[in-house]
Amino acid sequence: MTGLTCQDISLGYGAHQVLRDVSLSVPPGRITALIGANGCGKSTLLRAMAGLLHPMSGEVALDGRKLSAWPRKQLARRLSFLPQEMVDPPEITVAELIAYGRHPHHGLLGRACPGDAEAVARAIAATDMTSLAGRMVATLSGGERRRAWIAMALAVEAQILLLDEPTTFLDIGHQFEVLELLQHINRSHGITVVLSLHDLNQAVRFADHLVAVDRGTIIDQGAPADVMTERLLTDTFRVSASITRATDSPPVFIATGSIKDPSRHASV
Amino acid sequence: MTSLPSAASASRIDARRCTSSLRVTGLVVAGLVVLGTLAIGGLFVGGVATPVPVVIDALLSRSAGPEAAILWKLRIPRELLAMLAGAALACSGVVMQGVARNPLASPDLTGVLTGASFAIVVFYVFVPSVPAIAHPFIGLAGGLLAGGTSLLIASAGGLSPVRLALAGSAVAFFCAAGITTALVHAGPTVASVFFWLTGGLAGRGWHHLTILMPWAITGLCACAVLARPLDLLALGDEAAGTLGLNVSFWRLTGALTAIVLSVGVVAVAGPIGFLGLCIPHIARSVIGVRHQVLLPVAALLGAIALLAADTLARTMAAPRELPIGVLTAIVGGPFLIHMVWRRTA
Amino acid sequence: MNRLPFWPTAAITFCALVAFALLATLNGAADLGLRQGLDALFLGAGDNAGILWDIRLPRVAIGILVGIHLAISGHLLQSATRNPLTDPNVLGIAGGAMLAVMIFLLITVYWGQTDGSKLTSYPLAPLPFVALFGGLVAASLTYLIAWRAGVTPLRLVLAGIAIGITFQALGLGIFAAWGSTRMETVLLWLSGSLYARGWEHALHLLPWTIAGLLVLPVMVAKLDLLSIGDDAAATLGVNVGAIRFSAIALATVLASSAVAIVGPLGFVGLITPHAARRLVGSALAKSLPISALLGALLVTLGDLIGRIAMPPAEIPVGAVTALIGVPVFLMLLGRRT
Repeated sequence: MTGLTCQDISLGYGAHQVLRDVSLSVPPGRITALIGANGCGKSTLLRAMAGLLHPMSGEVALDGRKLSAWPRKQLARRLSFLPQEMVDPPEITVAELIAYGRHPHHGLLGRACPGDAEAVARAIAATDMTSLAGRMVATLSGGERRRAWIAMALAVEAQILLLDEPTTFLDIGHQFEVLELLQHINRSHGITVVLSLHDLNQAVRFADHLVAVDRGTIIDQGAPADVMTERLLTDTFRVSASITRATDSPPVFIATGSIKDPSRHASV
Repeated sequence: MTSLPSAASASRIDARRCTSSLRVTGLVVAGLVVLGTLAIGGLFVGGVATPVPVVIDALLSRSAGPEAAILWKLRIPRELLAMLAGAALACSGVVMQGVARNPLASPDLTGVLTGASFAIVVFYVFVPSVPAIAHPFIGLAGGLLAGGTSLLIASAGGLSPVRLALAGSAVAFFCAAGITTALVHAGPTVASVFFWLTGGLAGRGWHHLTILMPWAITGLCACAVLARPLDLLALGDEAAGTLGLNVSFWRLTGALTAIVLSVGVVAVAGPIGFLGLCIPHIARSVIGVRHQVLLPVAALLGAIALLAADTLARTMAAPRELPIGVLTAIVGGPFLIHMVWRRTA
Repeated sequence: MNRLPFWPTAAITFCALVAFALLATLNGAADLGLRQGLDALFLGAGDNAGILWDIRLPRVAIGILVGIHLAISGHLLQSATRNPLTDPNVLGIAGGAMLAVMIFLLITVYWGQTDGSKLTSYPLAPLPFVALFGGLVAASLTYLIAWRAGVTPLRLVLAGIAIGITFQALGLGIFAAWGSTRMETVLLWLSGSLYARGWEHALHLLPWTIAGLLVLPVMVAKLDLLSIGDDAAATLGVNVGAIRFSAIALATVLASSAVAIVGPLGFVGLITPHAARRLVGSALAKSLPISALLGALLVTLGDLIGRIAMPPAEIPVGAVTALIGVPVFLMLLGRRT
């Protein structure tokens, strides 16, 4: 069994359960997008796939071996994760931030190893950060900041890249910039990308595999064109929408209004 | 279904209001009974245990022996002082928390107590000729400066509890360093100042009561006027402003009142910690947030707490006196810790 | 942001430290000429050699060690809690160490093992351990109270302040309850003073310094990674809980042992890390050594100021560092929004 798999996992914080009995197999070398309403458990699922959250039951495995059984650094060399909330370290340059990504390859004393400079240079080149490498992270704009963090995750040179809503707080132009960057990384380096997204049209456009999460469970997964249906929109996102399908491009939908919660009507 | 409240729910609200006012009356009566019991009980105990008939004789001025002197010159003024100081500290805390809309605002955590102590120590050491009656004025200057500094710095970033606690403890640390410097300069006279600095009512009498009285009474009267504005301030500056409240005026008045209330206490009893922080929270949890009720209940609780602490301080290790600061810390410390625990859950 | 290169900065700070240390050794109540002083210091010539070697030099050495301890402790805590406004005082460690030492001194006096009229006549060797015990208790309490499926910096700071002021009030109370004859000597300890410290004090501190400095290199790289957030650090292979815990533990050890010898010295651990990060950037491999040097410099300078400000009385160095440090801290606090 290769790649990242979730087998019947239930997830939660303390006694509060967020997801139950979720199974998922991430297709290697492809882009997988998680979609779902706010608070449905996308971030929780991603954190579990990154080994940050231990499942209450079931298991998340990489190459058939439970994540918790992997030594931390070995796991870190295989799989890197970018949280939604990026904590900006004070007084640090972009290059230094990117170099942090080399930590999994270092020994106990954290001394640099031979491949470091090349890996950092490759990450900088891939994300087009060459001109910004000497700048302080705190002075970057939103889009540049996101790119710097992606470069940090790339410097790890892991085969699997997990990103929690990499497009939040970015304008539409920067959103596309980030997504195209991820697509480029995926196509040219064969890196498996798993990300959560809010914009459904972007998810359909950039992902090879779509996973819809609703009310604590996976309700559908598969090729974007198959998953994206009117029913998904009405049930999961509670919007009425029209979907335009063309043969040569991914389906596009336009929301036309929200659907009121039927239970709310009953209580009044 | 109509959206207007039905007759039934209206009467339910009435009933709740009724029980709540009953509850307040009950609590106040119970508090007064406890306070009275403590005060009367305290008359019998101390360095010299005094039997009941002797106390009654002395109280009725039927005897002029040493027992009467102990009662009239030592125990009675000291008890009155404890009650007044406790009430003043508790109200100071309530007002400060209301003005700053911050659960950690209190005379101790904003550095007011240490600031007032610093100013008084400086005068005590360098200008010993200043009479004790002027100490509250000196303390007022120090308290204003210290409290003002920490509140101003904390409010630069939205007056969050953490910022206020950090700014206040830094200001207090600064004042403590100043006190140390002054004490080192003073040399051998240190002991008496130091004992005063740990807070306590040992050896205080009528004279001290007359020093505290004007400050405490002024402050407590101001509280009566402040109750309504404090309720409105709790809604937030903008909402209070649209309801016609002059926010900055009342905030300033409130801060001043809180400081006036605590500096009188510092001048006669030293900085007594934790009362001004903990009592308001206890009062709020039993009686709610309406200041018209909250302030008197807090005052009552403060009086009870300090009277009980002082009675323990003078009897537990008699004839030695324990510093009140230890007793308030033993009870107040865990309380503060519990509060942090609960609030950050 | 202009940053200074590491080695020149370190060299300049080091030279300043040596210069002030020399000045502090030569300057004092019984003033020596420069020539005379240097002769006494390096050649052991003249009657003054004894004063310099037995009284002034150990004092300066202890100041330097304590400065290093507190600066590194503060820097570690700020990194571990990702909060630049933390130090051993804020987290309650100093309060705990102080309370433990108070109780210990009280017990030794109570059992009549010493006459207690001089601080030097108190048993010395157990003090670092006693203070360490108190500091560890306070730090663990702080950690426990802040713990709720992990520790967030905000809760740590609030819990630390609560623990700190409670322990401090208890310590002061015990002290006040205990009588007046030894008050002055203990007060001097309480305010953080280098007065009457000898080589034996330095020797009791040194092992802790060396042990601490030996552990540091293992932690530096991982602590650096904490600055990018817990999740990001964890996915880079850092055991976040373990590194945060061990950094706080090491900081506690360093701060407590320093408090045991000189009493609580405020704000050294709070402000030197800021200065160091400004000078050479926040990477710990660079900023930590600079921090340590600046801490040593600050304590040496504070002691010197305390001695020459109003002779013949000495202002305790703890008061001086607080008087310098608090305004700086308030400025930092006021600027952060």
